Amino acid sequence: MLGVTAHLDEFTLLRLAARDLSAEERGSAERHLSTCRVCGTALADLRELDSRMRALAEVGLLEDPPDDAFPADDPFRLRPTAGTRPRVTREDRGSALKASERGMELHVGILKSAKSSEALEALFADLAVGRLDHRFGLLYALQEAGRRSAESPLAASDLARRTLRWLRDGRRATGSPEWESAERLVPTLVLRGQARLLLGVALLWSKDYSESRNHFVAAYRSFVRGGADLTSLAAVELAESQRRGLAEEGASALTLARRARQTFEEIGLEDYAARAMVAEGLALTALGRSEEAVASYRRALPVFEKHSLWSNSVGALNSTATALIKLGRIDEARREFARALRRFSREPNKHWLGYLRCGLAEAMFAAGHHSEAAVSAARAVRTFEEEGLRALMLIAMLLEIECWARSGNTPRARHRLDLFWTEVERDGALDRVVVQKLQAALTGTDPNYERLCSLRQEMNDLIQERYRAS
Amino acid sequence: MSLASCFIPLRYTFSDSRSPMNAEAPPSPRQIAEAVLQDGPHRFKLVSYACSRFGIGHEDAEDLLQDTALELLRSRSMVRSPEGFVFAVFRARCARFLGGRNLSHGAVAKAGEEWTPSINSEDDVDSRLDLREALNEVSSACRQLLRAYYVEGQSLREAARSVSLAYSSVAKTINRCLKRLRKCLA
Repeated sequence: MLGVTAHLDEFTLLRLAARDLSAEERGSAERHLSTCRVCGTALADLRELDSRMRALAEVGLLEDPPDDAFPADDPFRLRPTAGTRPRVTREDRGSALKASERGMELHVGILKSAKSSEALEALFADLAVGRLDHRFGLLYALQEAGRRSAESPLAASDLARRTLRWLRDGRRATGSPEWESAERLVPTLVLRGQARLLLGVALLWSKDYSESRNHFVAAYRSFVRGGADLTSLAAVELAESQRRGLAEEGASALTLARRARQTFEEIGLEDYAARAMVAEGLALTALGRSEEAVASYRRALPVFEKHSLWSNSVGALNSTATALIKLGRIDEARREFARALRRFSREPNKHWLGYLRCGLAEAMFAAGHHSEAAVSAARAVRTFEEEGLRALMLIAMLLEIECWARSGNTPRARHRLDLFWTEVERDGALDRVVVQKLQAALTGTDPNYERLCSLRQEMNDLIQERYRAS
Repeated sequence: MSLASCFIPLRYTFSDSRSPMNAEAPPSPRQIAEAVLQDGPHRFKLVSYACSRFGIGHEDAEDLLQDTALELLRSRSMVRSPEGFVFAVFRARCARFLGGRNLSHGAVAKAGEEWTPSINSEDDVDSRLDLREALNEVSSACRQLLRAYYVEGQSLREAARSVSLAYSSVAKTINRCLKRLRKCLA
C-alpha cells in the first residue's frame, strides 16, 4: 500500500509509467500526484528518462558485451591507452599547417600512382621519411585508400606494402632536426599502423581472414605505441569487427563495432559511425540475429545517402537484402532492391545500377532462385558494358554463367561462356587454358557446380588483377 | 558561454564576403586548425571554455587544444565537419584529461550538462553519451534489471526475477539508480 502523504519513490513512479501498479496502488499514486508538485515533476523527468532509455535500447546501446565475447588474451578485449607523444614545439605548429596543406596535394598523386606498381615505385623513390609533408601526404593517401579499397583491393595492398618497405628503409635517416619534428607530428608508428590497417582491409576482400587479423593486431599495437588518436584505434576496431563478422565471430565483432561507433559518435564522425552500424549488422547476422541486423543496416543508409557515399549505400543495401533472405523474406528483399534501382536509375548515380543488379543476383543466388539471379546478372553485365567497366562486366558474366548452369539451363550457360570467351580474348584478359577449365566443368548434363564456383572465384581475382591499372 | 559559440564567428572571418556563394561556405580544416593553433580570439575562447567548464588549468587547456588541432590535421581526410570535429574532440579530450586526473565523475557530468550544442543531432548524441556514461556508474544489478526491462522487453516483475532480486527488494536498488540517471537529464 502506498502512502498518501510521503513522496512517491522513483521505483513507484517507474512502475506507474510502465502501468505495473495494481489498481489500488495506481489510485493511491494518482491521488498523491494530484496534490504534489514535486512528485509531478519527478514523474515528468522519469518519463523523459524512460523515453531516452528506450531510444538507447532501440539502437542497441544498452547492451553490455557478453563476458565471454573475448578470450582473456585477445588484444582487442579492451581498448588500451595510447602512449604519450613527445611535446610539440611552437615551430612544429607552424610547420604542421603548411605540411598538411602540401600533404593534401601530394596524396592525390600517391593515390593515382597506386594504380600501377611501376608508378608507385617511382613515386616512393622521391618520398623522404624526414619530410613532414611527405608523411602527411602518405597518411592521407593510406586513409583514403582504405575507404576506396572495394574499388581495387590489389592497389590498396600494394600501397600498404610499399609504405611499410619505405618506412623500413627510412629508419637509417633518423636524427636530423627535420626528421625529429616530423616524428613528433606524424610518428613512424602511426604511418606503420595505417599501412597495416590498409593491408588488413585489402586482405578482407580476398577472404584471407587469418592474415588480415595479424595486420589488424599489428596496426592496433603500432597505433598504441605511436600515441595515435582515438579515431585511429576506432578505425582498427571497426575493420577488425568487420573481419570477425565475416569470420562468424559474432559476439566480439558486435562489441568492437559498438565500441568503434561510440567513439565515432563522440567525435562527430557521422559517416564512420554509420559504417560501424553496418559492421554491427554483419556481427548480428553472424549471431543469427538477422532482424536486428536489418535494423542496423537501415539506420546506416540515410547517413550514407546524406553524404553521397554510394558505394557504402549499395553495400548496406546488399547486406539488408542478404539478411532479409536469411529471414525468408525474399519478397521484401526484392522490394528493397526495386526501390534502390528506381532511386539509382537517375543521373548522376546511374553507374551504381550494375552493382545493385549484381547484389540482387547474389541475393537471389543465395536464396536458390537461380534463374532470377541469372536475369539480374545479365542486366548487370549490360549496365557495366554501357559504362565501359570491362572487369566488372566480365565478373558479372561469370556469375550469370554459374546461375544459368545451376538453374538447369546448361545450353544457355555454354552460350554465355562462348560470349565470355569472345570478350576475354578481345582484351587478352585471361589465358585460354583457364577458360577451357570452365568449359570442362560445364560439359555433360550434370555440371560440376563446386568446380564452377571455385573457378569463378579464381577468374574474378585474375580479372581484377588484369584490369587493375585501368 | 557555450563551446558551440566559440566557432560561430569563424564563418564570417574566413568566408569571402565579396561572393554571396562563398559567404555560406563552411571553413576548411586548414582554417579551423589555423584558428586553433595560432593565438587569437578563437583559441582564447576555447581555452577559456575548458578552464571555466572543466576546471582545467590554462596551460593544460592550451596543450589539449593543440593536440586537438593536430588530430584534426592528421584526420582531415576523414573529417566532414571540421568545426564539429574540433568541438567534439576537444570536449572529449578535456573529459578524458579529467578522468586521467581521477577527478570525480560529477565534474565531468556537470560539464556535460552545461554543454550547449548548436545542432539538434549533436544534442541527441550528447545526451546519449551522458546517459551511457551515467549508466556505467550505477550498480551492475540495476544495469541488468534495466537491460532486461528495456532491451528484452520483460516486465519489471520478470526483470527483477531475472537478476535474482525479490520484487520487494528491487525498489531500494532501482531507486538509487534511477535517481542517479535522472540527475543526468536535469
